[in-house]
Amino acid sequence: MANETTTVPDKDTETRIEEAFEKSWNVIVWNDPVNLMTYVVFVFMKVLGFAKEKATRHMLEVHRQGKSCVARETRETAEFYHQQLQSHGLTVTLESSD
Amino acid sequence: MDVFRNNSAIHLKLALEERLFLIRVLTSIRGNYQIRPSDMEPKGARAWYDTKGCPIPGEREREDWIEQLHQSRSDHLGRIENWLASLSRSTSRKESLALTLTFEEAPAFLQVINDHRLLMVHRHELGERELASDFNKVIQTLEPQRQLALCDVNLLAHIMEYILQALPGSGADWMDVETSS
Repeated sequence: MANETTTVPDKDTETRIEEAFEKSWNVIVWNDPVNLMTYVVFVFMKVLGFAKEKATRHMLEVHRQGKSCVARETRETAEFYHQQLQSHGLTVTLESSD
Repeated sequence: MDVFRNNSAIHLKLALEERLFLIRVLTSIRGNYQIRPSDMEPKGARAWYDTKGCPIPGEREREDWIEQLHQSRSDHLGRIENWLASLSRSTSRKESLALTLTFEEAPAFLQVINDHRLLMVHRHELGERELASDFNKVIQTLEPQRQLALCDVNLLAHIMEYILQALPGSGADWMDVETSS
């Protein structure tokens, strides 16, 4: 065992791995005058898998406060949600919470 | 328009004018889905292919992002053809026609007609003033092209509401949640 060599990842690699698995990306949905409130609830349920109550809460937050953070995820998952929500016509941004 | 459903599908019973309206909208959206994002006029491209909201590192990633958005829209072309074929079945002027949407395809239909709404809003620069004001008042202040766009946006909103009410598990009864909490 004493002769076994181990490879220690350099600092950059470690940081990149940490970043990839860290749920530090916020998916923000913004209010707009076009999308119907009913449709937004439907999209939240379909894309994000929210129950009706949670979808409604976020939709109302978008409507009343102008935006809602609908997910905090790893970058990859956040980008997937972003693209799905955008392809349904919602206005979305991604923000790093770091 | 009447909307009813059975165990597996929603049926839109359409008068001739409603059929012609949906044929016009679906034909238009079919054409727009076939346009490459880079060939689309800037206002239309902003409606569907905006990359402002995502911190994309490079040009290559940006192009991939837009391509995926375009692909998700192109995926609907087959269904649009089917809907157009159903709507174009010949019936007499007086006879109404039912467009059947299975529960599986209804979400795609919503996405497609909502895309037309988004495109009309961006292309004709309809904003809060036009969309949230009294329709009968505001329509008189607009030039013909914008009038038509606003009519499309509002008529399609009504159709979407009908479908969402009929679609099981769509959450369209969200107001019950709001009033009971």
